[in-house]
Amino acid sequence: MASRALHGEDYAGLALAAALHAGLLALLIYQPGPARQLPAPERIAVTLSEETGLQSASPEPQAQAAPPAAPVIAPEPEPAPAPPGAAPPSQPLPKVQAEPVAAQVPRPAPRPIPKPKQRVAATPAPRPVAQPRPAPRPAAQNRPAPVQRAAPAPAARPAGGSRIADDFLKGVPGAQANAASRNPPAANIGPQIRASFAQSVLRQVRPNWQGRVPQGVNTEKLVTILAIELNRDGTLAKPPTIVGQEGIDDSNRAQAQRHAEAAMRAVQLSTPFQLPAEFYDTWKKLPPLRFRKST
Amino acid sequence: MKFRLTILLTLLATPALAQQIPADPTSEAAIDVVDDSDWQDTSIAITDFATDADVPTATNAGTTAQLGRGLSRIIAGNLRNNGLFKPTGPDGLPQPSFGEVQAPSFGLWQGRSTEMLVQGSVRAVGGQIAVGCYLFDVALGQQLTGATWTVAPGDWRRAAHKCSDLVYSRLSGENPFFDSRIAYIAETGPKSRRIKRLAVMDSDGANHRFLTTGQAMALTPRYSPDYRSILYLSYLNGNPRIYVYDLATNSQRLVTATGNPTFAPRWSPDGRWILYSMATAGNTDIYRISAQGGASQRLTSSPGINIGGSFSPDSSKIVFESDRSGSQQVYVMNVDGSDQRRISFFGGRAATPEWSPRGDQIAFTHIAGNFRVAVMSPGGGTLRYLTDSWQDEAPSWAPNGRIIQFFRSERGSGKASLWQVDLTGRNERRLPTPADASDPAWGPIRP
Amino acid sequence: MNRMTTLLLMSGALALSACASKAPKQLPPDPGPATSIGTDSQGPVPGSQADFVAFTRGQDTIYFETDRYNIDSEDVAALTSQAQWLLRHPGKRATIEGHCDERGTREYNLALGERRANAAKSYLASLGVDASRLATVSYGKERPLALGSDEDSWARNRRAVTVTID
Repeated sequence: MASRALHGEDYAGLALAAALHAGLLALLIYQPGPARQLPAPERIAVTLSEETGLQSASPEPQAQAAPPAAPVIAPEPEPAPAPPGAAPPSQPLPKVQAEPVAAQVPRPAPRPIPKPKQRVAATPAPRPVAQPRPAPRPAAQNRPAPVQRAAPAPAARPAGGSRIADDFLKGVPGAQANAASRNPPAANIGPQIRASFAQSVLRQVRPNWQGRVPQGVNTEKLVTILAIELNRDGTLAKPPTIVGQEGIDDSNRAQAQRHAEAAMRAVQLSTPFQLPAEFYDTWKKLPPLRFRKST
Repeated sequence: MKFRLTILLTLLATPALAQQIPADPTSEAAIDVVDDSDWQDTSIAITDFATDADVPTATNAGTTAQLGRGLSRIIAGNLRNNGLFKPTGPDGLPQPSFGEVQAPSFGLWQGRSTEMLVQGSVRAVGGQIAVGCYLFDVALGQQLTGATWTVAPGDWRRAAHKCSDLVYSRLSGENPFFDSRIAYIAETGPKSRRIKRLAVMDSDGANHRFLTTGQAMALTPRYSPDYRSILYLSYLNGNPRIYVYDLATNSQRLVTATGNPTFAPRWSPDGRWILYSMATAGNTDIYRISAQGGASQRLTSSPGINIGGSFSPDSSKIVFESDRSGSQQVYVMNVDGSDQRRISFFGGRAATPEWSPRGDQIAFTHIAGNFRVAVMSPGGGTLRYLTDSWQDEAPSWAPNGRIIQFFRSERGSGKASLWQVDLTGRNERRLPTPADASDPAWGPIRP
Repeated sequence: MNRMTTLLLMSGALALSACASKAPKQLPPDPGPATSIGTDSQGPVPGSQADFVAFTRGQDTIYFETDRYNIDSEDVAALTSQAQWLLRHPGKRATIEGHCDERGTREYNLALGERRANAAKSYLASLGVDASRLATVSYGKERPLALGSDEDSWARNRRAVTVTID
């Protein structure tokens, strides 16, 4: 959009640049949220919880301790902007799915492979070195943005949720141990914590889904969406229900049912889910699970 | 400078964009569970089919107990080579008693880390053989499906194919295909004077039978949809003509009496019509005739070679090959010959189109130096190669429209063999035949 | 009659002399069709297939370019020689066998071989041979003469062979 150009008007350009810098500065000052920027090249989509935890909600240490599983890579880098939240800025959660992208992760946090341990080292830094996968557009990773974000660093944030989010992004269990107090105020659970349980469920289901998308033409286009309800002991309160299926065409229609069945099987094989009972109300009914093949 | 400015402008613009896409306050992000691993073959244990009483049978397999082992071996063999399953057994497995057939001890199998389990029963009932077949999900401890069949002793292998089909369909989502037969051309002798005979066999190569002696060269067979007859080309009396071979009487008749050579016979899906191609003064055109005989209707009339033809599953259209553009290409026309349109634009030549029984794909031979089996959509969309060899030719479909059979010729020797590949291009395998083989044609699933 | 033939030959050669040669680089000694009969020491019996082969100096076969069926100048010489023999033996009939190399699909090659045989037949007819004496049969790629999978073998296999019927 900005590439329409100034052919040789250097002075004008400089002036404009200066003005824009100033404008940007001003904008940043007034914009508490994380800097918006170009679509992150890492193609990590992020979910934003709208319900902001007003109270500090400590994450459940146990649940978080495990490093997040490999993040799902959204197929396309979507330039999803963060909502202009006045309050606690959007919490970028690593876990995600492609569609309902509410916000964009400001900085690259691609984790192609779940290798939590190694990332620990990187944690302390507000902005761990991004493990850039063959980044589609390295240039687009605007450095400026991260800088802005650095300000509202984990510690600075009031909401524990945001810290969790950051921890997740960095895959740093250690940080959580510190920040996430051992005394979870169960009463008020931030959406981030809920999201962290979703993460945990993902970690437990995902291995049972590997190599399970039925073979066939176009089966990589199929998506099965399941809703699950859990008992306090982590077992299924009832069989998973198929909320929907996407991507069905003439070629893969025959596999659609198999796909759903395999997804349900993956859930069943993952039970009982290991989740902290004291937060049962939070994870009793988790967001739907979208089962698909990597693209 | 310019670059810097661009970035700045971008930064400025993005927040504005953000306002326009408000987050949906009602929906919570779903948990995205992604399979980023290659397909893992499903491990299936197949035990001996158990019998209530080990008694002699009229089959060529022996007693019911021997039959039970024979059945499970056939099933394991069927499932082994299509790339979806990793079958084990029956050898080396704990064998169930008759009473355990439908109530396996899942703990035992979970311990052996097999995902699925196939068990079955076999009994002699009167002069017949009763076979039961059950599929279990070991991890979930559930029965997924089951069925029983009663077959004549001579058809005992069909029970194994039916069971294979049950398992395959249940676990792949596809229609069955094992209980079917294949017609093909058996080849022997030197390259210059190869003897080519019409032959038929079960989908696994069993029950093989030569139908012609080889004195007259036979080519390009097609099983009728009811398995009662086979269309093929024979050089009987020295000239290439199409015949209908009646399997019950082992007799044959000309499809049409003509002084001209006729080639490339095809059935309509309902078996009521026959397509053939006939050369007149060097030009070849496609004709349609009732399977009962009568007058032929000429469907093509452009100069050059128009040949072959394969009906869409609903019999409304025909895909065929023509060199009217200067080289072999694939065309589609209505069943009455109207609205002829070229659909292959891939470079090279495109030949021997065959419409999938499911209608969603057209298989063909793509020629660009080498011959490769490929598929495209009926609209002529993108080409997708399924094989890569020197000469892979003449694809024909399995009844379920998911597996393609073709013949592969060796460079130099010209030796030909039958191969199968699935629609994803994976799982290529050679079909065993008693001699060299070409022109495979799959019949439909048997009732 | 002879003059007529010569005239036709010349006109044909003129008309087609522009065509590129597509015959094999080096024509190996033609083994002759499987149906040919060996000559005895006395020389072939007049009117026999062996006599035909001897008369045409082995030019009982014409060759084609890949995927083509047109008659070029070399073919004209061979076909003219064949026509001369056929015109001398009006009681003899002949079958023209059309063949292809192995680089086409089976069914298409059957049709292409027929087209080649028919092209030769038409040319012989144009030289005065009664078309009713000439039959065609296509073997597609099923009866290769040269057994290799190389350009030279393929060139030798793209052919139409005239076989007289004794």
